[in-house]
Amino acid sequence: MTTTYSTTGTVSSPLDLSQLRGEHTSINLTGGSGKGKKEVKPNVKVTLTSLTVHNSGTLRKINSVIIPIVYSDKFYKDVLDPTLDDVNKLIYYADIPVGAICCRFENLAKGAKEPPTLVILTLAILAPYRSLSLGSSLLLASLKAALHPTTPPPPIPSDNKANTRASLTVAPPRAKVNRALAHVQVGNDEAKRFYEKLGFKESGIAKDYYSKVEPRDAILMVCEDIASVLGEKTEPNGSS
Amino acid sequence: MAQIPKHRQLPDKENKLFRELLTQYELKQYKKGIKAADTILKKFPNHGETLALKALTLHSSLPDPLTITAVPKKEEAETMARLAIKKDITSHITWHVLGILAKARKDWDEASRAFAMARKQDPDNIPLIRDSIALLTHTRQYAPALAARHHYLLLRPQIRSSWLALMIAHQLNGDPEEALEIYNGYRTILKNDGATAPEKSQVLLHVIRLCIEAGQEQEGLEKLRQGIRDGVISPRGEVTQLKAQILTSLGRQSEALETYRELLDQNADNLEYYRGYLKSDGIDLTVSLDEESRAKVLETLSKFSETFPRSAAPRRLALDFAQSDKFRELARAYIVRGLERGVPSLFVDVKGVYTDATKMTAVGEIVEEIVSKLQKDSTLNDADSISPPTVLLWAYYYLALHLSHPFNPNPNHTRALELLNIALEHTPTLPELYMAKAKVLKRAGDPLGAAHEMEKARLLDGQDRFLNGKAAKYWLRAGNVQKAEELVVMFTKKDLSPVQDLTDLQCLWFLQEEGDAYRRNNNLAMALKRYQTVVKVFQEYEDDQYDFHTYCMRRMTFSSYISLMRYEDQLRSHPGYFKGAVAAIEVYLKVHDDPSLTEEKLTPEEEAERKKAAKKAQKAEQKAKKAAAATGDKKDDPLVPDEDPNGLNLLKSETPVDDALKIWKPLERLASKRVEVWTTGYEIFIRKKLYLAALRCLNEASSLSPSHPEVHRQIIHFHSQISSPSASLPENVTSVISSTLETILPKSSSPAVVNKSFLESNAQSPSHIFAAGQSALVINPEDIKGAVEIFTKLAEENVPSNVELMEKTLESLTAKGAEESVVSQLREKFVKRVELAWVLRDKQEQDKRKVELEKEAAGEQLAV
Repeated sequence: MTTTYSTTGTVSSPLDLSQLRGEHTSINLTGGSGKGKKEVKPNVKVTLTSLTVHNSGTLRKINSVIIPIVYSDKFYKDVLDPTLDDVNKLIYYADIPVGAICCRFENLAKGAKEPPTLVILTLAILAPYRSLSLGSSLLLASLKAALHPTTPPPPIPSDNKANTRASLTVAPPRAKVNRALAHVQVGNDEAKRFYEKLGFKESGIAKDYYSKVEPRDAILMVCEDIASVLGEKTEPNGSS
Repeated sequence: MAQIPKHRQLPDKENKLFRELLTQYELKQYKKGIKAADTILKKFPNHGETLALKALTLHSSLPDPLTITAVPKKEEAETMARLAIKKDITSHITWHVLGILAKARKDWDEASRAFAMARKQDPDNIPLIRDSIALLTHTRQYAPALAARHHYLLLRPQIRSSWLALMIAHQLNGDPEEALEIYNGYRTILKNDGATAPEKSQVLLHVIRLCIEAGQEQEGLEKLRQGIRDGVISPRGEVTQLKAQILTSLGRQSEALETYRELLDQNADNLEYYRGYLKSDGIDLTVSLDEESRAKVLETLSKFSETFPRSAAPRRLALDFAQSDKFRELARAYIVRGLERGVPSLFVDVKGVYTDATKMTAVGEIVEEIVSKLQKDSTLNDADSISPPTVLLWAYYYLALHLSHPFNPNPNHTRALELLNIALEHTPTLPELYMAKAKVLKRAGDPLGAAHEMEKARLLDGQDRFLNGKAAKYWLRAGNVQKAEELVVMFTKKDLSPVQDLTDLQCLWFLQEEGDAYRRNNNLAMALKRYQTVVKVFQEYEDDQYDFHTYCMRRMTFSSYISLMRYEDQLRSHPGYFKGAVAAIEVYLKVHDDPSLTEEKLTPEEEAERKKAAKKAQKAEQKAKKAAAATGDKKDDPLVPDEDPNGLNLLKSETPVDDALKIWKPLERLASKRVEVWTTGYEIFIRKKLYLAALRCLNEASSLSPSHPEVHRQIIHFHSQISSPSASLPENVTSVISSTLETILPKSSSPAVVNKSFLESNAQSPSHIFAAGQSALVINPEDIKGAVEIFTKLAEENVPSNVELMEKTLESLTAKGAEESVVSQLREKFVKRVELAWVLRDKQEQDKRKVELEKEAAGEQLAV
């Protein structure tokens, strides 16, 4: 008599966890395939992780080695806002944090002159990990999240302050955002090409945008219709 | 029924109260119980049993851990229990209570005596027998425990656990055959077994183990097969292991092989299964193999790695047996696979083969080749693809750890640091790189720089407790106790001091490292306190087993119980105890040699600060007391404070050598295979002037490891001690000593000659050079020049550099009264040899570096 055993969940046949959603999200690298790029062998796991107080040291490290601007403590506090949880992400390549995106929403209030916009504040990938489609995947993930808002995670109760009911209420989901904006320093052609490839268009120049680095002007790169970039059906304006 | 003696009789009303008192105690209604006892005692103040029960109730009502207000109550209970005995010496209750209180104090001797007395008064009292059995087993008096078990069975033959417990009692008493007899006899009279399914399987598994122990493997196998057929035990896991074990020892090769195959199907990552498989196949891996069987092992393992492609175990095991070119091929494949998967522990895994120097060199060459190939082609495969950038990163990491490993005959710390800096430029977000840098710096002799690197790793992820603990450890190594405690507090309980919480959690590494840090900072009192806490933790481990003597019998988890008992019997052979104990002994001996160390030397400023702090504490205490009195709140009752918060009482012991001996005793029995036990023992006995005992230690040590450097020094030391006139030994002792000593120290040659030849035959080992230098100082304390000449060899090119020994050398020379210029000359030579070793530099330079590092760290934080 031979008995057969199920080995699910052991080393010889591990559970497939990629379907699970949670703090860590697996992503498939998209775009940029073909066209002279060499295939990466063996395949590597890539995941996105939410920003938290604890990994903000990692975020600071990434930004400080790539971006010549020194951001304030306030910046790092603001990006942890629970309503931004689905657009602000760290990207892990083979379980090593190698890049991050930080965004902010503008004109969300009703009656604003401009349409609601996702403003990309920082987007950074460590040098050895560029040209692996990590940046575009990260940006597309944020764009998608902006277009399809989900309920933000509940706020974490504070240890040292009294927790009121207001401070613990889960914020309502955002409105849909179908426009994105990024600033590119004049002369940074590499970045400009990157955004253009993803459907962003140059729409003007912001004078003296940078206060401490030269050149001080920034090109405004705008994507008017996130849905079409993502390859989804464009919805008529006004419906949300 | 026997007549109740007059002094114990109570009128009906009080008798009823007495019964209520018993139930109230059982139901834990202590307040009510005490009230009832008081009512009886008002009328009959001399009623011993009531007094005893009141003492017991009072004792049980106290909080644990004790608070300040509870201390006098505890004393009251103890005296009351003693008084009760005086009032009624023939009552089993009074003796039983005395035993329970003694047991709570962990005073096993007194408890044993009290229980014995109580059983004399009432031999058939069930709870009493049960308590007594637990105590006897705990104190390892197996024969009386067995007798008590037997008696218990006669009283309660209808209970299942009485039979099974008797079986265990026989087994503990060293008689597995009788234990099996009991079990089989019990099975024959059993009509229907009311045990639950888990109980049945637990019992059967244990009985099978018992069969193996009694050498009745065949019967065990039958029981096992019957159990599987009856569905009592599951055919997987533990049972399969037992089956494989039995079949192997029965020599039924083909079945054993098949069973190991089955086990490997269940878990292909267990190295033991592969070893068992090969052993059944006729290859014993514990002895060195010949060419033919080695080829067979490799072939078998390669087949397994094809069958279990995801398992690393067969591939890793093969590295232990492959040689030369085959090794290169297998090792490269193994390392590349690990690098591609980004396995952080790859180095720790592979370094097991480094005991073989040629393999170590081969691995180094393989990784160098991988790094250069990746730098050139950025791929390890065909030209059309690229390897993930992380492969190069992990390769840098591996190579850095490899280059700085102590097994390396000439560790290249500078190159390791360069590689890690390149890797950090590549990916600055990987904590492992900072950790590796810290480790390299630590090995190079720069604990402060190492701590700063580890801190950088910690700052990357504040949520990582491992990094937090590592950083704390490195700060302790650098001597910064305060900073370390600031870090660990992030993960300890909020309302306790971190040290207290980690003590409660029995966190051995922290206690040990903090003790070491205090010792390096010359705060011997605190060091000793931490080491004693380690020793105490092991006492707690031992005491904790008490409850299991009854619990496991009830739950029928016999196998685990027996393995617990065997574990407890050799508890103190644990490396954690060993380390703490040896360190504590060294401190005690240091204090014995120089009693002035027990006096605190404080600068006036420190003294003023101490006074200020004491005043502040006093004020705070008074305030707290007042507040407590005002509110009358019971919850504010503070715990009993530590009587010796700074360890000064420990340090000021009148008998440091005896204290040391007490800690050493268990090591003698349980860790007798370690040389350090005997060398430490020698240091204790020579100070107690017990020359024969000291000689015995030398004998044991030199038979374990004849050329051990420390043993060599001690033999020379011993020789000089007994030849000095102050020894003045009796005739017969001298003759014994000289005849024994001859076997380890040839009489014909003088110690100086022996020392010289010792040095010559071990000219490239730093620890032997160090010992030879120390011995030279023992032979002739005046000849510092000669000793320095020997010590200088530590700085030679072809001798592996050892920072720790260099540090010790400088210290001991200063202690022996060498001139400062001599020491600083030697220091310069050492520093030139190991330039990264900041610990060797003089104080000024170290301070300067400290300031620089702090500045850098502060700058980094701002920039980040």
